[in-house]
Amino acid sequence: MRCSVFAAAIVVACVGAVAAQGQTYNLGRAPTEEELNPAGAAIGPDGRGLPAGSGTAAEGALLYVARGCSQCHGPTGAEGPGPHLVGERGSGNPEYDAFYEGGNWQGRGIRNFMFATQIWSWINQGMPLNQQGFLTADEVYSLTAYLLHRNGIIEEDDILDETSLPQVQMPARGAFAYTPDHPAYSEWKPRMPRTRVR
Amino acid sequence: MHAKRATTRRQVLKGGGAALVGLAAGAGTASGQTLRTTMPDNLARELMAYGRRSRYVETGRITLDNKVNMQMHGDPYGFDALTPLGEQMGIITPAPLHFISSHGDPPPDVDPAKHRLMIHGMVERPLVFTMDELKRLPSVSRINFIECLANRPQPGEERTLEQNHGLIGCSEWTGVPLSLLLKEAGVKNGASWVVGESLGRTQQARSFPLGKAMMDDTLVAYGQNGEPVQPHNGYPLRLVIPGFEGKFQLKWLRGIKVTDQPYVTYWEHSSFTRRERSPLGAYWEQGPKSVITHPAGGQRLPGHGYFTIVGFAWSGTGAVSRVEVSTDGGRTWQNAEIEGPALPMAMTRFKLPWTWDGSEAVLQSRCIDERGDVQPTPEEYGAFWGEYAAPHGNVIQPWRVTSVGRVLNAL
Repeated sequence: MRCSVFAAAIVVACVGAVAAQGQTYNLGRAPTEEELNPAGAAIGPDGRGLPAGSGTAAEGALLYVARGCSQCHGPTGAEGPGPHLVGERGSGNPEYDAFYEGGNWQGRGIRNFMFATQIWSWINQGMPLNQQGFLTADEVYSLTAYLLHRNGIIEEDDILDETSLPQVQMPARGAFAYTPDHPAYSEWKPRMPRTRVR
Repeated sequence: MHAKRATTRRQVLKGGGAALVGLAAGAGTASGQTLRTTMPDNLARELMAYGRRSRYVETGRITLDNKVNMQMHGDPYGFDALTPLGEQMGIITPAPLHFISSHGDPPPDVDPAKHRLMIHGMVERPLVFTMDELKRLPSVSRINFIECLANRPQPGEERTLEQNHGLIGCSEWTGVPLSLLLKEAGVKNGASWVVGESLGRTQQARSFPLGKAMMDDTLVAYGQNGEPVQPHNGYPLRLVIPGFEGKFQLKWLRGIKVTDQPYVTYWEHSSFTRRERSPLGAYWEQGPKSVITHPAGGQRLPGHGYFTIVGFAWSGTGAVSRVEVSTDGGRTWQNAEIEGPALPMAMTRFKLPWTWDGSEAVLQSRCIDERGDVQPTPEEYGAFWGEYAAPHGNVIQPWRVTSVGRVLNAL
C-alpha cells in the first residue's frame, strides 16, 4: 500500500513536471522568421547567430572613411574626438585618462575587448550612432577586420567571416576575471563571494 | 490671541502691496500663521488631471555635465543624474528623481501599442507578447532598490552625499515575473544563461544567470510607483533583477534570449572586471551597505542641539537586519532604529537620536544583513579586493561634522 502511494506520487510528480513544460496562459504568439533573426541581434562569444558574410581589413579601410566612421573617430582611428579605436589608450583626453588610471580604462581600446565577436556586435548594433542598421553584414565584417588589423591582432589579408571571427584570439582575453568558462558564473547562487568581504 | 491674528489678516487684505510686506514679516513672528493664498484657478484645474508638486519644492536630480563624465561612457551623450538622497522621504524614490545612468542611449520614444517582447533562444516555444498580453498575466509588485555598480564613496573632503551615493533609487516595481514568461516558453535542457536585449539606440544587451531569472523576484516591469515606468527608467518595459548591480537591469526591454553561455557584452565586461582589480570578478549582487543621509556630506548644521541621524541601508542578498551607528569616529556603535519596512533588496530607513554639543564629530553607519554579512571598513574592503577602490565599493562612509557645522566627507 505504502509502495503504491509512493508510486502514485511519482506519477503525479512526473505529470506535474510535464504540465509545467506546457503553456499555462496561452498568451503570446510564435515569432516570425524575421523577428527571430533581427539584423541587430545580440551575438555571443561563440558567434552563433552571426549572419553569413565576409570582409577584409583592406575593404574596411575604405569603408571606415566612406561610411563616416572617421568623422567621429579620426582619420586613422587614433585621433578622436570619439573613442579611440587604435592603440591602448582610451581617449587622448589627459583629464579623462587621468580619471581612468592613465587611460587604462579598457572600455575604449579595441585591444581590450575580450572577444572579437563583441567588436562585431558593437559595430553592428550601435554604429554609426543614430544610423543603426545602416551597415551590411559584409561591411561590419570588413570594419571589424580593419580595426583588428590596425591594432595588430590580425593580418591585413585575413578574411573575417562567421566562422573565422569567433576564432580570433584577443590579447586581453586573459585579463578578465569574468569569463564564460569560469564556474563561478555558470553556477551562480545567491550571495556570491563578493558580498562576504569579512 | 485669536482676535489679534484675525485683525492682522484683515489689515493685510485691505492694505494691498504694502501690507504684503508686513505679511511676509508676520510669517516670521510668533503668530506662526501660514498665509492663506491660493493657486490660480486655471492651474488648480489643470493639476486636477495630473498633479504636480508645489512650486516651492525644487528638489531635482543632480546632473553631472562636466566633461569627464560626459566622456565616461564613450560618447557625448553619456551622462549620469543622481538621486537627491538627502531630500528623500521614506523608502520610495519618486520616479522623476530616480537616478539615471545613460550609456549612450537617450530614451527611445516607444508607442506601447506597437511594442513587443520576444522570449527566444533555447526555449521550446519562442513567444512574442504585446504589452496588453503582458498586463493580462498575473502581475507582481515589489519594492526593490536599483543601484549602479559605480555607486561608491570616494575620498575628497568636499564630496557630497549624492556624489558618493546618489546612483541608487528604490521603487515599487510592477510587472510579470520573468520566470513565468520563461515557463510559458519552456526552457530547454542545457540552458544556463539569459540575455536581455534592449531597443535603445545602441541595442545594448546584458546576460545574467538563468538561476536568477528563475527566482520569482526577477521582473519584467512595466510599472514604477503605481504608474508606467518613466522613459528614463525604461518605458515601456525594463528588467528588475533585485539585488544585482544596475547594469544588468536593462531598460527598454525588447527581448529575452535563453542561452547556454554568458554573452559578456561590451558593457558587461567593459572596465568592471579586470583580473588585477578583482580576482573574483564576481559582480552580481550589491554588498551590504548604508549611508547616513543627514547629517551628510555637503550639508550644514544650523547650530548645536538635537538632530535625528537618518539614513538608508540595503543589501543585494536580502533584508537589512540591523544598522549600527557611531557618533565618535567608530569607537563605539549603537543600534539604530529601523523605521518602516525592512524588505529584501530594498532601501531601508534607519534613525538615531543625536544631540550635537558643537564639537567636531565623525558620524558613520554600518549595515548587517539577514545573512549576517557586515558592511566593511575601507581597510577590510581593500584587504579583500586589493588596493583599487573598484566599482561596487560598499565601504563604511564617515561624515565629519566640523565645529562650525559643516559636514565633510571623512573617507
